[in-house]
Amino acid sequence: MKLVSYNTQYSKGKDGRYDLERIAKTLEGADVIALQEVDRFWPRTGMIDQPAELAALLPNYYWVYGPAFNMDASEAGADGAVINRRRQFGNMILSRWPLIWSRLHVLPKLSNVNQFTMDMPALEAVIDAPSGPLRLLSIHLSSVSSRERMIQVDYLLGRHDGAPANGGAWAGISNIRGDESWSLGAPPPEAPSEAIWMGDFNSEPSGPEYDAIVGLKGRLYGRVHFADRFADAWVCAGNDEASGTTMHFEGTKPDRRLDYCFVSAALAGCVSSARVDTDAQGSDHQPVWVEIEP
Amino acid sequence: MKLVSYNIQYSKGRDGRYDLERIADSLQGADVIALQEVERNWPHSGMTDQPALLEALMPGYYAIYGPGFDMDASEISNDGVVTNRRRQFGNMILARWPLIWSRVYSLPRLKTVDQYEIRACPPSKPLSTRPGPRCGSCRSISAASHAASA
Amino acid sequence: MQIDYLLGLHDHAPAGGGPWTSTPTIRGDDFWALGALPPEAPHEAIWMGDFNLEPDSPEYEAMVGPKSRLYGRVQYADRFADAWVAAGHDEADSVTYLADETFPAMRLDYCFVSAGLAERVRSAHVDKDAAGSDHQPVWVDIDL
Repeated sequence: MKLVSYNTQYSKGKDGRYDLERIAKTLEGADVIALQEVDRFWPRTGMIDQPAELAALLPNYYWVYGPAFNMDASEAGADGAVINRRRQFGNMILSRWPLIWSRLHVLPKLSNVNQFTMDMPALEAVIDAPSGPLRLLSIHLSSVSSRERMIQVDYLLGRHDGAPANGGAWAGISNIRGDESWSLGAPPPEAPSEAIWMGDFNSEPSGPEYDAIVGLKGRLYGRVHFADRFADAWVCAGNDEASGTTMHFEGTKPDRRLDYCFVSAALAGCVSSARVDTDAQGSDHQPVWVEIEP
Repeated sequence: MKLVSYNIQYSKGRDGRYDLERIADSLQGADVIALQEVERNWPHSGMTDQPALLEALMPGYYAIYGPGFDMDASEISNDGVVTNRRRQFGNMILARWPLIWSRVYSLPRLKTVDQYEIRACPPSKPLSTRPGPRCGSCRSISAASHAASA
Repeated sequence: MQIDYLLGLHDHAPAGGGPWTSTPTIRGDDFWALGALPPEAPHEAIWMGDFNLEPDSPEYEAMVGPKSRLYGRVQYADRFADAWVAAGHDEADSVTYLADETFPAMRLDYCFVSAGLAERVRSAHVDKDAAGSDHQPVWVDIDL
């Protein structure tokens, strides 16, 4: 199974051109796609509906869109009729197989007085993969500070720990007083405790966010993969955690590794390869590809 | 300011008829409306897009929809083209003034084995450009034994 | 558990702010904020909906305060008032879910307002005639 994570910067490429076709071409061949920074109805992207346009460019995929940032962009006519429209920014998940259920988490935010920060999304979905249900999150953490990112990571880990008790979109018995029109005769959907987290974590392996997700670096044993936490798929595939930068800067500023694919520790053995597409020009981030055999 | 809260049971009335116009009639005169149990693409409500239909029935309102329950209802053609569709259930907020910003919160839930329950989701948003309170439309889980606070 | 989560979000609101905060430009580029100031995130809130609880429950108490023998419900500044009660009704004196063959009549639907807004509530009523659902609409008139 080929998975790819890509912060698309709302299709604005390194040449300053907005090009969704270029984004779609970069994603060809993927089975599962986790995107971040997808716009709906922003002036900067020509007031288009990017999720709908990406879906049209990738017609063989099931998809969900989860915007954490959601503001009014409506118009009211002279007769008082409202053309209702929301200016949105968030994540997408696309998949070759149905997305059985999905859930949007608006991550906790801290307001500050001297740097721009905004509501950030974690979009969760369970994929009806041939190997069985696969739970995936497309995540985008705040760029502004570790303090805020740690609150967001703690929230996500708390929901991760709660997943078995929490369940999927619905749980329990499949009928309400003989009425099966809720469950449509199906059993409760699965919510596997294992998960794959992909996205832009806006932090590097030297940061506390990475420690919280994959474990502290111990002197004797390196990173210990706890059963209730994650492994870095890039490292599982044989790479060094400090390599694999995903954001390049011109000039003297060093490249940064900000985009990851983390897999539940139990899935670490399923990772067969990982690469960063260093040629992609469609965004200020590079796509991260991971191949797993679940 | 007139506020109204209505769990619309996806427009299924006491007579068993699904009638969104009847729902809209009940809401006439409101400035701010908080609805629960609004559906998209469910067989029992005729695979309709209830948020869109309600917006059309109440054209003078700004509106947002926040589904906590979101499942696949897509179709795939023989040549592999997906008609992407989600079966959704959740809350709406409508207002006579713009909904400046909004958020959907996915409420935590405990899985039960003997009662049906689904994810609830309150969208929350502040009203208009005047400073004023935030407004939330809530629906808790239906298995009351698990709704208790700690 | 859900009420605790919502009250946690409510308490976090001043620190959290609205969908974006602080300076409207990123490196001189203001196309994020579109020239606007950060949107407000008032701490005061109105919560409306089907809470699937009744006034004698711990969840109701978490929202509107414990019932003290001397003072009735104590309304804490960081919590809520029941608009139905603020409008002069008794908290137990309302039905929003009519009895059917399975369940008795219950009061399940509410409008809670931040304690500081309670005095602005002018009136509240339940539309007993609406037949469009298995719940009844709850109306509140408030000076805002």
